Amino acid sequence: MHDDEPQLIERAKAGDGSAAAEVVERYQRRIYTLCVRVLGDVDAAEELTQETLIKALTGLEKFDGRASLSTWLHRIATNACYSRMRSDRVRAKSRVPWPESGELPVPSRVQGGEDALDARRRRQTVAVALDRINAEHRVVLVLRDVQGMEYEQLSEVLGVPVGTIKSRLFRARAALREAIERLESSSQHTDQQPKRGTR
Amino acid sequence: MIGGTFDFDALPNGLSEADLLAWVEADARARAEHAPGSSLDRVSRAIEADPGLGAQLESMRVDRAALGSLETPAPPMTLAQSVLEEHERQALLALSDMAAMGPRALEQQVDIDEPLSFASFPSWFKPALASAAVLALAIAAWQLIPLALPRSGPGLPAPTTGVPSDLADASGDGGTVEPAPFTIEPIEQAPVLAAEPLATVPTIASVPEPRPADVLAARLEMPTERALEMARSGRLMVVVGVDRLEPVQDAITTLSRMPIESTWRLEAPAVELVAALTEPAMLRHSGIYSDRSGPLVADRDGPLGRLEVILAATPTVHVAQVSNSPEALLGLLDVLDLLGTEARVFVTDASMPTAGSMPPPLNSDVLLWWDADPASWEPWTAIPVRFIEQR
Repeated sequence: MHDDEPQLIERAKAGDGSAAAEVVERYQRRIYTLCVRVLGDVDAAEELTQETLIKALTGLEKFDGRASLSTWLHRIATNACYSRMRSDRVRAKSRVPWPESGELPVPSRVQGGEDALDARRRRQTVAVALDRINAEHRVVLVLRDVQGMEYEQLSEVLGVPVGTIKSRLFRARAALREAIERLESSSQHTDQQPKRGTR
Repeated sequence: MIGGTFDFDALPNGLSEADLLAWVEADARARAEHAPGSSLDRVSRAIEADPGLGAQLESMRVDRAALGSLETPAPPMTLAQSVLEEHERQALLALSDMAAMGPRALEQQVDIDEPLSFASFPSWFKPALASAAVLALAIAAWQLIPLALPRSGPGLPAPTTGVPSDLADASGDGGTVEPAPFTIEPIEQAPVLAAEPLATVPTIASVPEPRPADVLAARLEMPTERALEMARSGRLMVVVGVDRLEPVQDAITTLSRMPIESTWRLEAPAVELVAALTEPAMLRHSGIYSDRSGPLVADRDGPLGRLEVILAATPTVHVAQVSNSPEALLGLLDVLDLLGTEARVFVTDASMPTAGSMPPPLNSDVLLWWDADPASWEPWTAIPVRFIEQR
């Protein structure tokens, strides 16, 4: 938390436009990152980031300071993401963009070699796998590993005890691992297909 | 533990998920210098006994690092400005509401960081809701009383039993009455009761079911009319990508049993279609559907020769015939939903190729095209579905 956060919030509550701008400037990137990684859609992420920050500024009177402003904003954004995913549940399957060219991992040229995928490919694989696991797991992983939140913050954002957070987090890691292994397995299978004209 | 699948009900040595998580998230020093009997110590001993567990946890550590290093595009430059402008606009609106409604305008605000709940409703709402519920129960009870009572009682109207009312009245006071000759009137017309059963019952305005066209419109990324027009001309495709074949088989099985005019069985004209869709130099394998009553294997040569189903993880071609009604399209999309989260459905208006003519895809990056070099294929199975007007 920034040292000057309480003063900043008080100024923003009092209607100081520059304080509101400072709040947006400080947190827009983090909220946008959360939304992008959870929703997998930059347009929706932009929309929800905007919605989150507007709600926060408009409802700043209700912020009691028990949690940090960052935690509070993450809570609003997470709820907004869940709400969006629920409303888009039916449409999701027809709207999730097909992986862009090169987004899926290139098959390993060294069979079974863990080192065959370089760091960039690994990140791409992880990003694709993240999109495959369920929303609850994706949210907790993004909050923990991408946003760097502590267990207590996760507990406040998600409204569940720390013990539940740990359990959910480990299951999310296992689910992500399984998704990655599946992707890598598929890549290797593709790699074994004969090339055109090599019958 | 097999592969990446954990049996969470049987973690080794009484370890908890929190213990394993602590090991995954601990830094190298903490793992090396853990205290005897500590959580990390117990996990370390479990790993010594089960190297597979160690490999899984180590992979999770690598995944965590990769997640932490994901690059995310910066928010658009205009985002902050848009937020501040909208905030300002809403602040002015709130001032206007305050002027019009006084402090109640603020009371009506809903908590923004909580999911919608009773706590978020204004204080007058709960008693009002409770009163409405009591009233609804009273009305329901009043309507059910005549049905629940086997015979009439004091103060209640006689139930409709088909017995003449004089007999019912007499039996009610315990008297013995000689039954009068009983005749059944012929039924000359259906009772009005059947036509207007709820005429006297208070009804709640029903929420109209969404029209199939509306539902379809919400699920397609193009206007419904446009989609139907494409379907009529055989130029609408739904491409489904999956990374496992099993869900596809389930969906196909379900689809083949659907009452809509759909089939995965190749009709004679479709043989040529599949011929055009299949690259002859491709590895062929008459595999998974050969035991079905309508195998997806051509029984005669098309322009490019005899064709068979191609292995999973390479383009597999299926042709579905459905009518061009919104209901039918919606039904097909519902079935495609069975593919689950592993599948991605991509709707495109790319033309379905026909024999001798293969128009290029709209976006070669998102479709598996049969004329692409197999080395470029992604690990997906694509199912182009053609909508054909039902005649």
